Amino acid sequence: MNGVFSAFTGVLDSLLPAASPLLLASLGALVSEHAGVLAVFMDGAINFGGFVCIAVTGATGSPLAGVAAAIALTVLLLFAVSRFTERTGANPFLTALSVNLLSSGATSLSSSALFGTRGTVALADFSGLDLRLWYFPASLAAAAAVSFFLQRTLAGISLRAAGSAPEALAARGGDPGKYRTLSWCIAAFFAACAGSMLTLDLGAWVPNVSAGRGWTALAAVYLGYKNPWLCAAAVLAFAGAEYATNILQGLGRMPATIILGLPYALALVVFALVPQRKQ
Amino acid sequence: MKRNNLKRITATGAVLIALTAAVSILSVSCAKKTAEPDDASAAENAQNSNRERVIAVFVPGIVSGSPVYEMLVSGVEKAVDEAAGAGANVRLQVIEAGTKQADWGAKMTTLASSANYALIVSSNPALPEIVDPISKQFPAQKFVIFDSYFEGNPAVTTFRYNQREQAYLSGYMAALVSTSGMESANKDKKIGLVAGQEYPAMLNVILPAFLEGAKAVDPEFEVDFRVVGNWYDAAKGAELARAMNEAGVDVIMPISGGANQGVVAAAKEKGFYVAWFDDNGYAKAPGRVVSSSIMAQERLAYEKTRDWINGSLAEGTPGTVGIADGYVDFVSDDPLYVEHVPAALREKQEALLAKLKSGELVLTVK
Amino acid sequence: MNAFAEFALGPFSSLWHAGNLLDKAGLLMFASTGAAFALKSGTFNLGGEAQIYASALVTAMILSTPSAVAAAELAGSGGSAGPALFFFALACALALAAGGLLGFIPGELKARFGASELLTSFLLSAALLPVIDFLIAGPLRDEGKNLLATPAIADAFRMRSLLPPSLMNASFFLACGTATVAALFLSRTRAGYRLSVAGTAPEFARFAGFPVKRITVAGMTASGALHGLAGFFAIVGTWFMCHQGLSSGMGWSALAIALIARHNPLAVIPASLLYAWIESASDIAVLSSRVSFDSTAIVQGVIFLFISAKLPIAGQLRAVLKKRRAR
Repeated sequence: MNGVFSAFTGVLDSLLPAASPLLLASLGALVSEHAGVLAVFMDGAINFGGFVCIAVTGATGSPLAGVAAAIALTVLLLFAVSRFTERTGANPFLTALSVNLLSSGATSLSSSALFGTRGTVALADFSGLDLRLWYFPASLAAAAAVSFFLQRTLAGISLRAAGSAPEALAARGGDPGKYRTLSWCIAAFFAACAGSMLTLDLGAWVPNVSAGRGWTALAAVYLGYKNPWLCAAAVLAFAGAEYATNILQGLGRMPATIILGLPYALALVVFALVPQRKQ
Repeated sequence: MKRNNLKRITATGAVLIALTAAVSILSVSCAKKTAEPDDASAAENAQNSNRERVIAVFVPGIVSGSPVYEMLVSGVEKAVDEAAGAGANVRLQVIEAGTKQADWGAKMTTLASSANYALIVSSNPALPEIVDPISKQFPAQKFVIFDSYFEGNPAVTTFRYNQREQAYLSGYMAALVSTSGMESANKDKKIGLVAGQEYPAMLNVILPAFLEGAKAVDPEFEVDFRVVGNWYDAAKGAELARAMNEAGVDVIMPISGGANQGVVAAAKEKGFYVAWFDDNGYAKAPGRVVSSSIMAQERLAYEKTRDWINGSLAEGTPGTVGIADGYVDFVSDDPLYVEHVPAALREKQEALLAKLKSGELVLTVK
Repeated sequence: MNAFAEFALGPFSSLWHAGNLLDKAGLLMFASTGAAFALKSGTFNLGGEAQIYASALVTAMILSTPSAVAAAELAGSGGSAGPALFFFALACALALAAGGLLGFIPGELKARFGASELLTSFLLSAALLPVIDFLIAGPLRDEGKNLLATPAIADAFRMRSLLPPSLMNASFFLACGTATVAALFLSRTRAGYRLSVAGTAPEFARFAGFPVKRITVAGMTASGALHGLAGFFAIVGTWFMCHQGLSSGMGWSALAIALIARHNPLAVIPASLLYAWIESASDIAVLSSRVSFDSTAIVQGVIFLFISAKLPIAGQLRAVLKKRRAR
């Protein structure tokens, strides 16, 4: 009995911290989805935030300053792109894709300017934060905050209106563009948090450290029917599947590379079988 | 309204196509002029030492963060600088082709067809097969490709490392550490290998030799082999390493590019050991990295480029280099290694090195 | 300014570069016509990458079966070209089917269960990519070589270059034709009209009694099949073997082009050329080592921002002209 219990906590110990950056990212994608913005910039924003966090943590020695700078700069970047999108009437999908390009170019250029390498930048005497236990509770608290914001606050309700009924919002004197920009900024905030979590946990910046988590987060928004709690459940299910495949690889019964696609296949099957809510 | 739009778009399209076509035709006439004499001029370049000879380093990936390519570039650079310092008219140009294999052929053709380069140097097992057909089109272009093996083209010279020896050394040391009384070693006779992707050299040479080396310590050893799926997902690398550690693995060799950092971070956190591959990695995590099997790519690149500049390189034949000639080695003089790995283990590793050097133990690659 | 001109004109500096630009644009045209088709029918196809990749693999596999190789030898040695043509057509049909199937599945899931095709097409793609990677690196790899690729297809199956030495071949014109036909289909036929209406005004379509669900499935299937064509021509016209990661980035590029073209297949033609131009210019700039990867990523990002805008420069010009006239 004790053995089973410890095995279970062992699973949670590795699963929950791994799920946390994904959950944060999907909360960001969720908010922008509600404002009618498909958050395809997420992957680039996570990388950008992660790089800034390591660069500033390295310079100041304070992870807190690193996270703060990551949030500030990522929000600034996405605010600027969002304003551009609104003012020029640009296609938000395309400007969001350009964020990914800008992020990969900017992190790489800054990395070679600041650290003399475009590869891995490891913080010398930094052995990670001893906060792994807190990753998941903090992310869940964020989910609660997002849920509250979207359901109970005027700004959150207006933001959703900007996505579902922009004309109605405009008729009531609200500016849908303003709320869309707000949604980009909130997404940037969460992307920066997710990126910082990834890089601080590694104690290093690795180019493209997000490795598609922004896209998976976006998928989780849909898997969770655009509801913060269901999103959290989707992320957990996804992280669980990934954890299971990590274990499965060790059994050596199946080609390792094929196993990598299993979480997505599983998500597809589940999503296809679970009855959909009609819009 | 709809019709109008359609017309406008059609017109724009027509103009763009016409423009593209016009510019292509224009460029044809320009290109013809320069293309003809170029094949000959590359050969001339190579013979006439008064004219500037440009050596291109074709990097099938990105230099930064990849020790293999960093060593390649700095080795060639050293040879070129030295020659230039001694009065030779040579210059270096580094070209990064990115990680997409499908694009390498077209990019290599661009270099070869420009005939600007007296020599193109590169490093990757897959490259000779991409270069061979290109070389038939531009026979005057010379290539030197490291970390690869190819016969039958006089313009393509290849050198491969004996990676069986290199991985054998790692497996041997990993098994020694795993069976030792070192603080984080456990009872399980299991060591691990984390690869970025599955590829021929990994599956046919490195993985089997890693196991072979471990079995030389104790035949009961097994290797837990897992794949990240790419060369950058460090968080996934860390997760895999943690899962392996849970499953009883106490020494892991990461060969997964940027994802190596994840294995190192997990080693610091969970307390297991890391066997580094290709360059000296003891400083990545002092006390955690217990082995560094290296290939002397920088020295090989330097020597062979120097020989080519001097005209003393035996061209068109493949060569294999290994422990006997010092191009594959184990870093045993690093203070961090001496400090953290018990003397008994180090002595055994030295004995193995000596056996390989003297030829008492022969590990050939096919 | 000079540097920019050099950057922009790089792809036209030689026949090799210019031809490759057209070849790249052609492949993108097939795929982005597919993406535009999905958008027109009111769906989002995020599975383009796997659709191209799977079709490319199918093509390479069919054309390197022993009987196809024998047919190619026959054609090559002066014998009948019939068998070779048969295998060529078979590969094309199966590539279309493979791409179509990967579009059909998300379409059907949407029609039957209401599952968002945006998500299911992405998940299907993400699940399949590693499988194809594995097949190419493992069982289907050319064992005699160190490349992560299938065996090369025979000469008889390769499309001839129209601008030697570049890769440009007839597929470019076929792509322009495909885009034009798609545009005509959407604007001139009843089925095309229904598809567009179902995409832009689903309520109205339902009200008018159009089979909206079937239209969704048809749109996604056609989108997948067109991506499949890109995969087919990538093998017979450009690479002649299926490299690992061959389609990486192509799915997203195709989607971006379709959006730049505002979902119009005819506008996809210039948009693909423009896109291929920017990409080629960046590649050439990096190859001549005038600039690094990172700066071209930034340049591409900025260009992207601006072409995605509703032509702000044109708009401003118009505004300035208006003011002048008013004075």
